[in-house]
Order: sequence, then structure tokens, then C-alpha cells
Amino acid sequence: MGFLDTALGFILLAILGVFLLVAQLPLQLKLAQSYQTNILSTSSHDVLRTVLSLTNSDADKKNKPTIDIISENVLLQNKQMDFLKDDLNKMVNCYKFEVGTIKMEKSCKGLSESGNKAEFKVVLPYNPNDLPKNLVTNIKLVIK
Amino acid sequence: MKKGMTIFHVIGFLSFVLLVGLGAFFVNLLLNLSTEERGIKQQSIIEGINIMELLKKNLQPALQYSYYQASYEVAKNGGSLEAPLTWRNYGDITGFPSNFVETLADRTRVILNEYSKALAEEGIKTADYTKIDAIKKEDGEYVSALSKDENGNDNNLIVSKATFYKLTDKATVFVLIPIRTLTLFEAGKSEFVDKDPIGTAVYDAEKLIPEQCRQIEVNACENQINCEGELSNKCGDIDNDFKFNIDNKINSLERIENNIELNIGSQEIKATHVTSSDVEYGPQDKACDCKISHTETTEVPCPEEELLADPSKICTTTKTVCDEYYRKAAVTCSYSYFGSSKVKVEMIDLNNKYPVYDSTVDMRNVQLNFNVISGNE
Repeated sequence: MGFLDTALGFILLAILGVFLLVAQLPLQLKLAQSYQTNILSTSSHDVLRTVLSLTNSDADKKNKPTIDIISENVLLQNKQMDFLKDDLNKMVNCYKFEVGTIKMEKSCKGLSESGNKAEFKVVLPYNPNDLPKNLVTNIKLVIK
Repeated sequence: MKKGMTIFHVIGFLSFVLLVGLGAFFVNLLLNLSTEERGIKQQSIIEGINIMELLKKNLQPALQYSYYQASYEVAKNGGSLEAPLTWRNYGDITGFPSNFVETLADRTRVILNEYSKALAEEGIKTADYTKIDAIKKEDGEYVSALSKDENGNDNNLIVSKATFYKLTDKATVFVLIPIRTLTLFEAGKSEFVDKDPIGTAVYDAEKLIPEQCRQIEVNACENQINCEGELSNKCGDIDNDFKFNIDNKINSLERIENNIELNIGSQEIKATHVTSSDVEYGPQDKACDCKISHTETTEVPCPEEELLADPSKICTTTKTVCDEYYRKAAVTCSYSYFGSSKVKVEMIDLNNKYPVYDSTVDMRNVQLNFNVISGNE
């Protein structure tokens, strides 16, 4: 009996171990998701940083990406888009920003991957009619 | 007994291995969790630093746009935020806004604080700016924005996320802006406050009036002295000519220098003359009109028809006899001319256009407007 009890004890322990192993998985998944959110958020800024530090290079011209620009600000459909366009053109030398889709004018190093995104705030020219929220707008660059 | 021992040992060994394995797994899991937690914190801090960097990066164009707008609004009204100021009223230059830098700085501060509020969001605390300084440099204007608390300590920008991190950095922003607002004001002061080109233009226009329109000598009977008439006969509408010359002289001041366009629009020009006369009287002259006279009645023969009807009738006639004639006079008519002008001065910096709001947002030059009233008193 002593032997069987001991064996049963070990088996129960093993089952408990497996149970714990399975039970902690959702926790680990949740943590992983949390990390991913942060990493995505960070990497979007990294992409921005890459975009900002772009230099003309000898990258493969066949892999020219395009960038879609998405703004929360409806005003950007008209006059203020021009200012934003100018600002972005100053920041990013190798892209030609146009209203709507931004087309790449020259090849840029480091941006041939698909699905890259950059989100950041852009300050707009003063317009008291649009205060307070439209002095700044969130811009999303989607690099295809 | 020997066989039972073997099974027992095998099961015991397997259980031991399982326990050790599970133990190792949990220890490994705990270590992984710890590593991942550290990773989260590291990533979060990087994220926070990025947010702080972007915030500071955005505050610079915010300060630029604020300075553009403030420059446009303050320059448009000659250094005020209301109606254009009159910098000079003849010798009185108290209308010049000697505090224009403070007005410009304060308007910049108000707009920058609107941007600062718009940049704040959950986890991002921006600052309320308390002082703006603008200094003229060779290649633009150096503008700094400071945020101080009531004790004079620097306020900070704060980027935080729950308990992961709290990053702080000084809220001070400074930027060199390629603009010439201060240069425009200095040029305007040097040109229209330290000097008086409008008054000079009126003096110069007055010098163009011919000598024969300044003094006219005439011989006339004393009752016919008419200096205004003499002036009109010899010089026509001289006041209008004077006005025309003032306008020409003022227009000749317009120019483009150092890429600053100077426009002067005459809103009102007044020109008039004051006449005086110096008279030397001679003796009375029969060629002149009679000054004092009397009437004389004398008897004359009556016509026959009247005598037939009334033989006693006495007929008379009356004539005027001049006792004194007006004197001849040698008259010197002198004319003094006075002109004044109220002008609207526009000084436009042609170097750059800036995105500013004035009913709509558009690219506009910074333009300094003010009024000047002057003349030859």
C-alpha cells in the first residue's frame, strides 16, 4: 500500500505540475501581448526616427516603397495640408509628399519593408478658428 | 523483494526526475517573467524618451508658429494689438510703442500656451510659459520661451506611464527664426521717429513755390488793394500746386532697401497760405475813386414850357463834388505757405512669407503699418 500511495502521490504531483503549466499560459500570453503593444508603440517611433534620418542611398530602386499619410485632421485636406507637406518635405529629404498618397521620389535606405508604420504629432500653423484641438494633429505614415 | 525494489526505484527515480524537471521549469518561468518584466520596463522607458523627444521637437515649430503669428498681428498695428498707432504727430513722438518687444513677446507667449495645452494629453504634462525673449541676430531672431513657477524655478515637461516611468525635462524652448520683425521696427523707428521725412517732404515742397508767389509788389489805389487777387492772377491755384508737390515729395520716399519695401500712402494733405501786406501810401490821386464828396444845388434856367405854365418856377440841378480822392499806395503782398500730411506707412519684409492667420491661414509677409502726421508748422 505504501508503494502505491507513494506512486499515486507522485502521479498527482505530476498532474498538478502539468495543470499549473497550462494555467499560467494565459498569464504569459497576456504579458506577451502587453509587451507587444509597447514594442509596437516604440517601433512606430523607431520607424519615425528611421524616416527622419533617411539619407539618399544606393538602395535597390526597384523596391521603392510608397507612403500613405493618414491624418485625424480634416483641415489637412485643404490649405493646411500644404504646410504639413512642406514640413514633412523638410524632415524627410528623399520623399516627395503630395496631398493624399505620398510617392517616393528617390530611393531611401531602410524602408523597403512592408507594413511599417510611424505615428506622430505634427504642429500646424496657428488658426484660432480651430482651437484647441486642431493646433496639432496625429499623423500616421504607413510605409508599403 | 528484489523485483519490487526495482519497480519502486524506477518509479521513484521517474518521479524525482519529474519533480526536478517541474522545478527547473518553474524556476525558468520565473526567470523569464523577470526578464520580460525588465524588458517591458526598458521598452516603456524608451517609449517615454521617444514621447519626450517628440514633444520637445513639436514645441519648436509651435514656438515658431506663435512668433510668426504674433509678429504679423503686432506689426500690422504698428506695435499694438488694436488699431494702427500714430507714431509721430509733428514733433510729438509719444505714439511710438517703445514697448513693442514686450507686446510681441506677450502675444507669442499667449499663442504658445495654446499650443502647449493642445500638446498635453494623458501621460503628457506640458508647461505654461511665463516669459518670452526675442533677440535680433545676424541670420534671424533668437526666441526663447521660459516656464517658471512662482518661486522662479524652471517648470518641467513630464511624460509618465502608471508606475513604469516618470520622465521630466526642462520646458524651456528656444529657436532661431529666420524672420526680421525686430529689424522692421528698428528701421521704422530710425526712419520715422528719429527723423521726420514727412515734415522734410513738406519743407522741400514749400521750397518749390516760386519767388513771385511769395511776394508781389503792386501800385494801386488804396481802396483797391487785393493781395489775394494778385496772387491768383500771377500764380493760379498755388495752394493746390503746393499740395501736389507735397504728394510728389512723399511718393519719392518710397523705395525698396535691404529687401524691405517702403510704401507711403497719403491719407490727407492740407495746404494753405497766409497773406500779409505792407502798404506805403502816396498822395490822393484823382485817378482813384472819390473818397469823400458832397452835393451842390445850383439854379438853372427853366425850360420855356415850364415857365409858360408857371412863370414863378425856379429850376435847380444837383451835382456831386469830390472833396478827397483815395491815395495811391505802393503795396508789398507777402505770402507764407503751410502744409501738412497724414500718411499711412507700410514697411514690408520681402525676405520671406510665413503661414499666419488673418481670416484664413495663408503665406503672408510680415508688414509693419503705422501712421505719421507732420508738416512745416
